[in-house]
Amino acid sequence: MLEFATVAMDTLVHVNIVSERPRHQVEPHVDCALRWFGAVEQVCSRFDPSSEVMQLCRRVGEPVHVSTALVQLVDFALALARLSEGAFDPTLGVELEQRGYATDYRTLRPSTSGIALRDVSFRDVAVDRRTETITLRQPLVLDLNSVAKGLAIDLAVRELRAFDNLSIEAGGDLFARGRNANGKRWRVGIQDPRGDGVLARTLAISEAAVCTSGAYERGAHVLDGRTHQPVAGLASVTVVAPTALAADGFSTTALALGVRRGRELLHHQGLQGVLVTTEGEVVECP
Amino acid sequence: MPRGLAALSASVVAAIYTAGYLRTQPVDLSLASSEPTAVSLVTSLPTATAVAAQQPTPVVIARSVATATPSAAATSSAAVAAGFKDGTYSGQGTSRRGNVWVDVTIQNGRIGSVTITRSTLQYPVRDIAGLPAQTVSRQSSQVDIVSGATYSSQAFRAAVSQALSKATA
Repeated sequence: MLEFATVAMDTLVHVNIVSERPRHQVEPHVDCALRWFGAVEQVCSRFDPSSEVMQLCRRVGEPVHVSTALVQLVDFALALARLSEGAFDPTLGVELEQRGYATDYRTLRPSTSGIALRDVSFRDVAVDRRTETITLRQPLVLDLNSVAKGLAIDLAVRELRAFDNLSIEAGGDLFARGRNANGKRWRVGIQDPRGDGVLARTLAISEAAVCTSGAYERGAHVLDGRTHQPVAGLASVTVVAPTALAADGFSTTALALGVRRGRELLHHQGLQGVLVTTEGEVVECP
Repeated sequence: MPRGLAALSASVVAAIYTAGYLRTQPVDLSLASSEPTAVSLVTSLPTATAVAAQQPTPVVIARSVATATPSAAATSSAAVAAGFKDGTYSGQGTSRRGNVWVDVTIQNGRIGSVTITRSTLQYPVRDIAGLPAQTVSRQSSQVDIVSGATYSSQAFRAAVSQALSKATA
């Protein structure tokens, strides 16, 4: 098995490829695939004033023509917000900044938008997919962290379509295709929020993404958009989905919704999930 | 079976991939003759593109001390294409789980390799870089990958950033 690693999106990215090809033949493809992480960051980073999303956030009250990537991603995030009736809300960037989640990992220096905190919600964002424009009705900062990493994983996986057996993992979110080095389905451990190295569950997957959202490592960086308070009740939510974009977005959304409604959402979407409560109870879906 | 938005997510990824791919990769990227091509999803924002060119990513981390050749680039100080001065820079990162020391080698203004020179982190080194010694044990271990809200790279990341700050000084 060939292993590659990089630093992107505030985390480490690991690519494992099971292949008979020599490393020097595979490496250019991995390099190419990993560039998608930089490309997505260039669109989505809240910590980079020159990212496309931060440039968008400086133009309020007018339709702004944006890239296909940004219009699609924001549209997806708004759909999650509507599905969860605002529990997941991608417009709370300023609030996250004020809670201290505003450090640019590339410089380790604070990076804030300078936009004042207002009472905003996902309803203040309008997307027109046909014209590829986004209109912000109020000054706000879009926080796409809950979907950007998943998207980057999916794009990298797509770039590596010539390889039948691979896994890409970025900061605990992953996609696996084909078989592992032992010719079996990839075995994915779900970290138990209560302890390092302890697994809450183990899954065997292929051609699927697994993403986990939780408050146990980065602190309370996920807010319930309905209350504007850090999520409570759930320590982590893991979702298995056909794309890392969906697994990433739905794990954060279910975390924000809480155990009962979060599980209902996953069930309704036909997704497999593992929810761990702050009490340590493991609730599975289906 | 996934339904609704979860099922639709695949078409979102496809649309974004196609938009980026068509813009930046007009020629066929076949497995036989591939040179990595720059990927950009943004074309209408010149400032963003300019900044992207300066970014250190992508960074392919050297997987072992053995494959890293710090001396190779340490003597060169010419290229600053990506905003970093060529050479090898050390950095240290700290987290509540311990410390990690790295050497970052800049070649042609970009990060050529990152080598972990020392670590007192309490979790297995395989969590921060796929070192060959751990590869063997991983293949026989219970799981291939761990999904979690992990932030285990925090110290590593800080160490790399510290080294990069020296490379830009």
